[in-house]
Amino acid sequence: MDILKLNHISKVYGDKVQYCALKDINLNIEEGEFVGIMGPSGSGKTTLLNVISTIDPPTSGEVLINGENPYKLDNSNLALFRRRKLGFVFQDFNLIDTLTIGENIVLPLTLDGQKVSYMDKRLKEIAARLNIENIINKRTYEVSGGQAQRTAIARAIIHSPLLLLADEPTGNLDSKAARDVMELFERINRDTGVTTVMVTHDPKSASYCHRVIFIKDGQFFNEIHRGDSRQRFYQQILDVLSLLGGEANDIFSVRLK
Amino acid sequence: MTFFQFALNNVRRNTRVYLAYFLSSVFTIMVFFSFAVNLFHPVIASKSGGAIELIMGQTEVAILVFSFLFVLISVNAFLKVRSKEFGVLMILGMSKKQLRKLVFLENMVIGCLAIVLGITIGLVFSKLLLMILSSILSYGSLSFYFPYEAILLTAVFFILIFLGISALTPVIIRTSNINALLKGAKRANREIKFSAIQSILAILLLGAGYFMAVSPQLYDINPLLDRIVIFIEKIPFLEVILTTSVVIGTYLFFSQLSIFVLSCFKKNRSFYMNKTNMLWISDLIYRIRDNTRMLFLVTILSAIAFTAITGVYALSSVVKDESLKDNPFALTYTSYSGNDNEDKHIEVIDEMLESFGFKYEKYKSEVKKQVSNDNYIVHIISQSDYNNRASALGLDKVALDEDEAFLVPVYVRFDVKRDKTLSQKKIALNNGEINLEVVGVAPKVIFYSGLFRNLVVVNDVTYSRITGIQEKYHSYSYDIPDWLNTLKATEKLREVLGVGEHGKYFWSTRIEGYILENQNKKLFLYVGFFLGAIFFLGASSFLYFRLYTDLNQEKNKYIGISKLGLSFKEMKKVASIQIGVLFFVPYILASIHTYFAINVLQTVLYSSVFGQYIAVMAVFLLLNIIYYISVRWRYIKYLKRFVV
Repeated sequence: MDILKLNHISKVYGDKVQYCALKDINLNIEEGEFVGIMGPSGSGKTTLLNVISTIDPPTSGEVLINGENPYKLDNSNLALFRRRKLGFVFQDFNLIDTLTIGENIVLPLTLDGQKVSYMDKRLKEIAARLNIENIINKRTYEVSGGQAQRTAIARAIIHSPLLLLADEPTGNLDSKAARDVMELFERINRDTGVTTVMVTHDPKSASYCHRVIFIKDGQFFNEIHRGDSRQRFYQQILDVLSLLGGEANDIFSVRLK
Repeated sequence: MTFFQFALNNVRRNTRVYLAYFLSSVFTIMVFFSFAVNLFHPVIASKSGGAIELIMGQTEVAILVFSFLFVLISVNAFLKVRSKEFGVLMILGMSKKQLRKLVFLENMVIGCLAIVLGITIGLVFSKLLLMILSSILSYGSLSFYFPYEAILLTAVFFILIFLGISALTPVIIRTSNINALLKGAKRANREIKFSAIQSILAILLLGAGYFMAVSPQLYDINPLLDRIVIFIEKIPFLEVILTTSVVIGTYLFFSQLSIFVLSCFKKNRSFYMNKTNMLWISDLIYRIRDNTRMLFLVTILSAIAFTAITGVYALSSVVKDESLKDNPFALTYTSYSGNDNEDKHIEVIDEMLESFGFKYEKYKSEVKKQVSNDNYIVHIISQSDYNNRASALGLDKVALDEDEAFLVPVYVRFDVKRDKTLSQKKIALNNGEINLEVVGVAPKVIFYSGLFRNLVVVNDVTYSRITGIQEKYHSYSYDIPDWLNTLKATEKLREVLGVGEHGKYFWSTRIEGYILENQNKKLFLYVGFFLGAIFFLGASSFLYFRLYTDLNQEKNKYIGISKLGLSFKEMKKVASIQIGVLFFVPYILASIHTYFAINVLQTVLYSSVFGQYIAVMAVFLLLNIIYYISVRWRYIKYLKRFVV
């Protein structure tokens, strides 16, 4: 069954000078899939993720998440939809500084008005799974980038969402922390079966996905599936990126990062 | 963590951000409360209906309006800083309703704490204010009391203000665009637009306002106190137009004209491209545009503060000998024809004055009041009675023919051309039977200010021919050289004579007017300085809030440019010019506004207040410079840490 379905999505910005960020994108993502979205700077990958995230309505076309079009919901139901069906991970973590790590993690349950005992139970489970039990009483400025991103991931999955969305989750991390975070995404996807969509620059991170979709100038360019070997998949991703054309520098700079 | 704990955690753990908001709330509550303590003081409340209650009440209303604006602007600055946080919460699935609830809970926590703290500090502060007030009103000592009403009023009003502000949250935070919220306070480089027409309109409106202010012929001439009462009771139409035009003009000045002028700088390429000019001009355009409302408010508030302070200062220096002019005689007793006790009363007064050992001269006059068929009221005095008084007051005596008349003003300040009664050329008495030619106008009042409107001096023969008299008054005026010490005697006389009896007699003394005037003058000074001081403080903290909010963004900008090779010295120059413009343009504009507002006052006071204006403006300029230097110092010190 398709968890996410995009039909003929286009997005145009600007009034006088119009700029077409997305052109006729079609995409189906099945339950339990782990999909990466790649493309050069300005290709529209973040716009695409924002459209999926229900925070940036498409100019035309429709988004169906679990068969439901979130843009047809009114404001309060849309908030409920995000709260219960979606999980978000950002490049710069976006933790709330006034809360402890543990409080940040249970925030979606707080917003949903859950019982404190249930929150505590879920927090214990999630923290154990993500190996962050020892920091749940710390404040956000006391933890490292990798730990902050783990916290953000914990916050994104504590309410068992249908769809986990990540925007450059490794963009602000060093390579070791990036690997840890990607392994965590992979493990969560495998263990809980949560459908995951991730935007990334980094071929290494992308190689953890089942499938990588490439877009260029707002249009679908190519997609490749992962076979048995992650190493080979990584090589394939690099090949497609160089095929994207004339952007070799862009890719190299990404690899150096 | 429950939702309430979440809100509480936000407040508890974010003191740095909340502190400025909290302190400004405490400050306004304290000011409001202290003033309410004055207002509800049993002694003052018992004088209800009087000028004091009116002035104090109006002041409290002004403080309330100011408080609302002040808290609103503080909360606005403080919510804007947190827009990224709200964006994250919205994307995590917080509904609008929950966001409103969050801000409401936070506001209530802060508000309740601020109310408790503000009232506590206010209790101490109000004791001081009560001391000042009691010395002004010479009520002896206004005892300290437990101000239930003031506490209740303050708590209710401020809870309402905080409630109102929570209701306004969705307007302040544009919840519809989560994407923009997530990008934080970063402002996109929107296109700068200005309209030439609106820029010209700004000049025209300011010009029109100023022109009206310096055109005294547009003003009706009333005596000072009448005028103030009119001002408080119903704001005259012309002032409304004048003020509105200046207010709108000021807004357009910042939203259009200033940007227009800076854009002209931009067009002059040899200037614009010269060194750091490009940096500060292009940046200033954005800063002014983003801060239009703040600059506008600061200007208006400063103008109000400057005008209030210059006004009361001028009043207090001009009004000094007011009572002398208002009451040329120390005591005046006026009797109606139906008063049987006239002789007895005069005897009582004479005896009382003698028993206190006062030397005095007594002048008796007879005044006839005639009302013509078309309701024209005229008071008539004979030439010999006038000359009698004129000699006492050092005025020229008159010698009139039978068909001549001489007019006497009823108020101290008058303008022959603009006063309807004094500009008459011909006077008709006895319903047109006697027609007189006006030959002159007396230079000042001969009874006291306000008594006998449309007073006409006629030849003694003509006087005897006046018939159809509606009322005949006998007025006795006492000239007492030692009048300053007559308060005791007056009080004793009041015990016997009271204030008068309707249709029988009334009497007044200079000393009572003098004391009342002194009291009013001091009350005006007190209220004026009070309001002026808090408005100026408020205006200054708006600026501070704004700079504080912008600081983070500025930091990033300067880090970026310094990497390109901007020296610290150049950065200092750019920052100094920008902060300088934000500090001094509102001051300059406000002082120009004040100058013209004072001009209006000047036409009313008939005396130059330019000296007082310069003095007040100089003090504020000094304050502003000190404030500018200290803010700039902190600002640059902060940025210095980040510049390469």
